[in-house]
Amino acid sequence: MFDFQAQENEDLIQNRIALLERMVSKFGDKLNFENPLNMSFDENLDSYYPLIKELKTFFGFNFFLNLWGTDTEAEGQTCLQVQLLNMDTHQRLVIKFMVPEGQVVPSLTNLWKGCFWCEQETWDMLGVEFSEIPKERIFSPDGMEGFPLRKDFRPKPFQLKSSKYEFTPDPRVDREIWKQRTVLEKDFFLGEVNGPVKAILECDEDKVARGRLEVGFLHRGIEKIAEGLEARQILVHLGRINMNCSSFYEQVFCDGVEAHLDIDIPERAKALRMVINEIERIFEHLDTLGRVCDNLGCKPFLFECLEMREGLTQILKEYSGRRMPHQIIILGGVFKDTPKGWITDCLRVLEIVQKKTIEISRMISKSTLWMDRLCDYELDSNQALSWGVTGPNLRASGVNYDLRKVNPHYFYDDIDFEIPLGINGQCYDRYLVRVEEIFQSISIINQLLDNLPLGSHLSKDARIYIPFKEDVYKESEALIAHHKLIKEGVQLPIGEFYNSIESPNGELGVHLLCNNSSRPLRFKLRTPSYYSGQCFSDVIEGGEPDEVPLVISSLNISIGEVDR
Amino acid sequence: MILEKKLYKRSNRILNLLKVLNKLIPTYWSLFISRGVKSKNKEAVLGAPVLTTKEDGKLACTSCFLCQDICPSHCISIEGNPHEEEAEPLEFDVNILRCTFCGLCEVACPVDAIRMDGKMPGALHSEMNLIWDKEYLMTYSGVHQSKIGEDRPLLPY
Amino acid sequence: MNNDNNMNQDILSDVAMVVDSKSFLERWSISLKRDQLWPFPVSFSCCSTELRGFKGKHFEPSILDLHEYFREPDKADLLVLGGTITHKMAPRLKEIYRQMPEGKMVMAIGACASSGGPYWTYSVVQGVSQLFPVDIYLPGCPPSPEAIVEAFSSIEERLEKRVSAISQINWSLNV
Repeated sequence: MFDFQAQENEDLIQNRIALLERMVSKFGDKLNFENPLNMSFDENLDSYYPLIKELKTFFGFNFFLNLWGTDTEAEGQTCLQVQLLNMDTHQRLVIKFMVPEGQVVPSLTNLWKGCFWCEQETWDMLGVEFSEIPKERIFSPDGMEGFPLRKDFRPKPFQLKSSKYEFTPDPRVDREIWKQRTVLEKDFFLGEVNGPVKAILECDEDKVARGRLEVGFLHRGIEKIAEGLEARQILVHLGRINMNCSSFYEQVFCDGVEAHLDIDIPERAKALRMVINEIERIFEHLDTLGRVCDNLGCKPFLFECLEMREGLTQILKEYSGRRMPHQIIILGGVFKDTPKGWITDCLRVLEIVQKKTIEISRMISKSTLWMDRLCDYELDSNQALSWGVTGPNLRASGVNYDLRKVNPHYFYDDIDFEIPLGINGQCYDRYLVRVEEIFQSISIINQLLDNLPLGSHLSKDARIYIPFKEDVYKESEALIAHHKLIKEGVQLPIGEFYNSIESPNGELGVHLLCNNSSRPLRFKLRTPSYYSGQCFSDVIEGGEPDEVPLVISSLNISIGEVDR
Repeated sequence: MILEKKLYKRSNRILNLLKVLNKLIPTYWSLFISRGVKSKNKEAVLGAPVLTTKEDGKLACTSCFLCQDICPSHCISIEGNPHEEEAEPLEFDVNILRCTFCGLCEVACPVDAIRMDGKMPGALHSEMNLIWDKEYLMTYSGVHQSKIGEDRPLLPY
Repeated sequence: MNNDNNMNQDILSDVAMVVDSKSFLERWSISLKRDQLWPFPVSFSCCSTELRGFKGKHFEPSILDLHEYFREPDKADLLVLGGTITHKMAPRLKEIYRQMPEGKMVMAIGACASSGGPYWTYSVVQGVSQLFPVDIYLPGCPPSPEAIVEAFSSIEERLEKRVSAISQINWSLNV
């Protein structure tokens, strides 16, 4: 077993080198590969579409990660960045294009369907036009003037326009048949799904022919706010994007900043971060399980899930002193060592959670009623890859891709755990994958807590460490360091970085562009629900309008993540 | 297949019903058992911001504006004394509705003048009560600075 | 109005004095009074997780179980708002408020709903009070379930005293 793995690793490294050589021979000096896992280069806009198509077909960059724009200092120029992933060698590539004002960029939706919202958002936020993409506001309120992420944007009072979405004729059917279809608008604002969202469905005799989600009801503009804030203040906002898995957002940001500053955090902090993250993973999966049970009308199971979540909340509260955004993970480690007796409490609660989850899954997994309702709404692997879906939804379609295995950080390499895979990509598979992931997470936490490394829980690097309070009151050196860190913030050197992590819903990435000050020039999040929200329109096809909340909750589309 | 378990096979309907009936009773028992899962450690709970006083009854705050600058929701507003440096502020208002209780202001304070020690505010009946001024923040829970060094909850950041 | 209040207080104090001798009818009238409150929770984002936790077991207020069966705003008289309210959401909320019958009350849970919270941006409404009168503000980000229970009891207090934000505004307009 061990030899086989080593062999696989060698093959992987050789593949990586081979791809890198091919890239260098093609693009030459332009290619920037300081970190061979994250490459980047600049390119002229004329070769935008052919180049990306070539990268997809001949270089194996078959997965679309993200597309975003940045307002540059040059007048009227926007820097458009496309991020791709090679799933065989797990290498990421960023291509940058300079777009002058008024230039129409060809759309990438022919290559990957998941670009649609990204391109629409780029128009909404920065005013970059794409061909074949409707010029409609997706996140910011309709009727607003200007583009929020431009540096010269000043908000003005505005009158809200009411716009109605209209489907274009369906190319797959006759126009006459299409005209007989009815359009339903369903809104879910009362907590049926995780956040406010509107589903627009085109129905053909009680069956959904086409459907899409309208989002933007929870858009807070966190990317805009973050441009004026320093690292510690951004952390406060990040914890509130998705309350169920706030620690992942905090970690992906802290980890990225630490790597950018070249700071190594102590081993105990790494292990504790992993423990907190896995607890939150269980927390999020229990939420999904509860919502699915709720939408199927199984109220007792919903209450069981809420009960288990309450137990986990209490555990996190005991650690940090607050209930919901517990803010345990901070720059340089975790803010506090484990309290006395916390490990025993944690293990006890996890044992109960495991017992109860086994009980629930035994009762419902094989029941005919459950399978009849859930064995539907298929998302096959090709569709999932085209939409850019990651996480349990992708694994339920049978694609083995988990960042904890393919690109292990911290101690995931040394820990025994397995990745559950589905076959059909139906709601039932997604449910099974999530339930199995709960058990795997519990076993990870057990292994970690058994071998928790000793030592400090916080890195004392002067660039990020705020001295201990009592020292600040007594010693003048500590006072000066404290004053400097608070007044000026954490200084981020010139450069940009991308860091990603396997969150409970998929790949969560953060992209930061820094300019030698404490405030970032551009802050971009790659949230997993953004892409599973788009694949809703494929999944709902042929379904019933009443089962929309079930589909949304089985895909676990968290609107807070989508809208940001 | 999910860890090679035979999960996709349907089971017999009647057998399944029996299984469910059999399982129902212990499930409801487990509800009562898990009520014991509640934390006993209630020391480290964070609360609302309060201003501390020195032993002579004056405010410890020296109006250095660090907390006002770092607050991510901009809910603190301070009016310093223009004639004297490092003096008690003339005004110190906290908009308690905007506050997210993140604790950054206490971390930023170099003289331990503001603390997240107060009782969490309950429901407020009108917007008039939501801006807490200097006097209210002082008397809200009456913390004296002499208590430094006792068991204080550790703050994030 | 005043007389009614006094009478209610008398009855309540009597009940408090001799709890055991509370007659069936009195108990029934009190339970009727409680049931006047039909909450209609509209909750997004973070506060919704706490509201859901609140619906769980540890607290068992009979009033909140009801909303499972009433998802139409025209049967509710208490709007429970939690979460960030955006400009895109605001017209929809106004419509819900308009549909609710007379004697409606509004409760804003959490920093975002009651004042906009930390989001000073182009897309966020800075507090629900810009849309319609609010009865109860509950600070916290998000508030704990205990605080939500407390807020419900203070809503009941207002109900007993027959004060509500919308009636105060009408009164001041008449004068």
